[in-house]
This record gives sequence, C-alpha cells and structure tokens, in this order.
Amino acid sequence: MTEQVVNASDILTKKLDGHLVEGEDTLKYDLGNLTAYDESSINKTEYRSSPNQYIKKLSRDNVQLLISRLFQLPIKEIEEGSLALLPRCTTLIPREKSLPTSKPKTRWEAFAEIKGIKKKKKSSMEWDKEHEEYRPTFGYKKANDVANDWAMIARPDDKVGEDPFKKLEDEKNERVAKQKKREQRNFDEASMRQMSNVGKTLSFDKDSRGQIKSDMEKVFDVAKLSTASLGKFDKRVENEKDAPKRGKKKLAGLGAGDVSQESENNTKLIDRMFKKENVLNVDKATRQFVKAEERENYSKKRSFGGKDKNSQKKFKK
Amino acid sequence: MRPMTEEESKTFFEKLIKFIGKNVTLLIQRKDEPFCFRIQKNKVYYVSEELMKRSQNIPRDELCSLGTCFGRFTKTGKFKLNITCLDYLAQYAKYKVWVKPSSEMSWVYGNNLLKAGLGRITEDTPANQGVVLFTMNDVAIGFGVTSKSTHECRKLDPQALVVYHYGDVGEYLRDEDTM
Repeated sequence: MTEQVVNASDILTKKLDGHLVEGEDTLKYDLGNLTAYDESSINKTEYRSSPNQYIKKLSRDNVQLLISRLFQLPIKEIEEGSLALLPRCTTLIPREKSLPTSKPKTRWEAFAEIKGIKKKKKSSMEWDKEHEEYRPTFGYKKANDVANDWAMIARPDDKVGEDPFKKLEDEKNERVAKQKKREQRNFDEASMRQMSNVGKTLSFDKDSRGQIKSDMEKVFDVAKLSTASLGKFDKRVENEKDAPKRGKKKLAGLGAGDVSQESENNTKLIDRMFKKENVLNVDKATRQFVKAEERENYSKKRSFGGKDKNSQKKFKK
Repeated sequence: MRPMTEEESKTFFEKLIKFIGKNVTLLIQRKDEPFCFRIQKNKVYYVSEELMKRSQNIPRDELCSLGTCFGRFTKTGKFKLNITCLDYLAQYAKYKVWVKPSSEMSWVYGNNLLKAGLGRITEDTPANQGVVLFTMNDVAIGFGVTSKSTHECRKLDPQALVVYHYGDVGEYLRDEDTM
C-alpha cells in the first residue's frame, strides 16, 4: 500500500490561471472548517455605485481564493476520486450540549482532596510466593490468600476453641457490611444535596432562576397528584401544563429499533407470564397420587398376607 | 404496520401459549433468521426482519398483507387466531388430537368434534386446553379447545362433545373473500 500524495498546484494547467484573483491575498483561512474571513475594509465608493455587483464580485473573488487554497493542499487519491487532506480546525466553535455536571463527591473523596491523597494504581496481577506464579490481586484465586490455605499459623493472641478461618470470614463480612453502610450514607448525602433547596430561603439571582423554576414545577406536579382523586377534579390553574405521564411507554416509531431487542423483550414478557401461571397439571398430579397410594396399599396387603401365611406354617410345624 | 404494544403482546401471547405453551419462544427467537410480529390494520403478522424492513416503504393504507397472518384484534381488544397460522401451531403444538376419517368432513365444515370422531389424543391433556387437530395420517386440519381431559374422555358416550371448534382449514374456502 503506497499512498500517492500529489500537490494539486502541479496539476493545475495554465488555462485555469485566468480565474485566479489578482492583487494581494488578505484573507484569513481556517481550511479545516472550509472557511475564510475577509477582514479588509469595504471600498465605499465602489459599494455605493452598485452595492449588489460589488458584493457579488467580492464574494466571488474570496471564494476563488479559498478554493485555490484548497487545491494547494496535499491530495490523497482513492478509487472514487481524490480527497484533499484538511488541516486541523483553528476556529473554536461552541459545544452543542451544556457542560456535564460533576458527580457529588463521596466523603472519602472530599477528605482525600483536603489531605492531598492521590489514588495509587495497583496492578491487577500480583506475585504469589507459594504457587510461584502471578495471580490476580483481588477476587477468586487471588494471590497470597490466607483463607484458602488448609492450615494457619497460630499466634500467641489466639484463644483456645476459636476457629481462625471463621474469624477471618466474619471480619471480612463485617468490612463489607461497613462499606455498604458508607455507600448508602454517601448516596443519602448526595441526594440531600440535590434536594437542598427544600425548606431554605431562595436566592433570586439570575443564575438560580432556572433551577427555581424547574424545582417549582416538580413540586407542583407532586402536589397535583396528592389529593384523594389524584387531582382529577381539581380546578386547573391558568396556563397549567399537564403532568408528565408515567408508566406507559411510547412505541418507538415505525419499525424502529432492532428486532433482536424486541424479541428479547418478548421472551422476557413470556417468562414473566409463565412465572405467574400454575405449571402444575392438577389432573395428572392427582391421578399419579391416587395410583401411588393404591400401589402402596396393594403391596402392604401382599406383604401382610405373606407374613400371615408364614406364621401359620410355623405354627403348623 | 407497527410493532405491538406491551398490552397487545400480552393478550396475543396468552392466546398462543394456550396452544403451544413455552414453544412461543421458539417463534420469537429463531435460529435461522430473525422474525418478528407486526400489526397492520388490526391483524397480527409474523414476518421475517428482511421482509418487514422492505415493507416499510409501503404506506399503511396501501399495505394489504405481509408474512403470515396469525389473527386479529377485535374492537374490544381480544385476540382471535386465524386459520392461516395453522402451520406454526401444528409444528409446535403441545397437545394434539387425531380425527377419524369418518368425521374429518364434519370438522372441516365447521362443526365441533364428538367423541365418535376422536381417533387419538395426547396423554394427559387437561380440559379447556388448546389443541391442534390432525387427520390420522398427520395432516393438520384445524385447532380447537378441549371440553374434557383425556382421562374423562375414556368414559364418555360417543355423542358427547370433545373438542370445541375454533378454526379449520375449510375456512380457506368459506371465508375466502374476507381472509
């Protein structure tokens, strides 16, 4: 694979030179965006005499300049034709979406920031001395796992009758439970922070206006549903918006989405239906039960009968 | 043409499960080619993905039919199976009934099946269970609902009803213009 890079100016014949613009090139180019900016001032006398023609001529010249610049770029040949390789954009264009909001910090993250503690990356594999190979640092078959050994070295502070393995497991469970508690606390605190406007004096400066408005709307939506009739018979306020509908999902347009997703959803639905349904075939079960009982009775009778006969024989002897 | 809503698919699958049980999943997740159910003017069609995508180019009003019709939704929201789905039902049927040659004709004219016409029946068929009917040489001729379980059938007199009529292949002739 060899990429041919041809300078377009070499290809341009002399005939095309007639189109090129005379005079100085004062444009500022941003070829990555296919744009050029003309910052030179307007020739007022020419503009007043015939504004339309002047604008047309100026724009034609500028477009010509831009296009001849584009042809000077390195060109890449592909099967369908030739492509100009554009340089990087220089003009900054504002982003379409608003900036992402940062996640609320956990207690540890906040503390670590104050103390200047940084996360250290631990490698996922660790050397296991006993097995003499690399093993995962955490999880199943982890390196240097004490709990997996069949024996443990006794320590002077061990009590008699205490199971060291059980102790290890208990400690681990305790640690996990504690972490879970912390996570819950972090979650609660974060949600409290989001609800922090409730019950506080509001500041009506320009920045918080949007926030206040959306908060009010949310609270209003909740309040509307909080009557016995779920707000069905309430008077409507002027310009009141309907509360957002919940529960029912919209169809995602005509034939939208892929079929595999749809079939998966349907299988889930069917599974749910089968869970509800009584799988037991009552008829069959009762019949089997009755038959089994009959068989048992029959075998009992036989065995009893046999014993009686035997005993009789014994007596006869 | 549109996919089914959750409610619609629920009523639809409930009906299908009556006949083919858990095999419904085999219809939805096919190994050879992705298939799906689509609704067009109250009728439910079973279509391959490719055909479905092609028919998207046809406006709703002008699309008469596509794939295999499984049945239709009534105005009250119930689902009725159509005889055109017999191939799939016969393929996956859980409970089957074989009809004696003497009463094949009676069934195909739209009558219920009597004990006298009952050739064979799957063991342990419960009452009120959807069944697919076959001739004695295994040609599917319709489907219906049992009125008695297999066990009860043994003691019945020959004039008693065994299978309620639901759909039969005679409909291809009788209801030709409305199909």
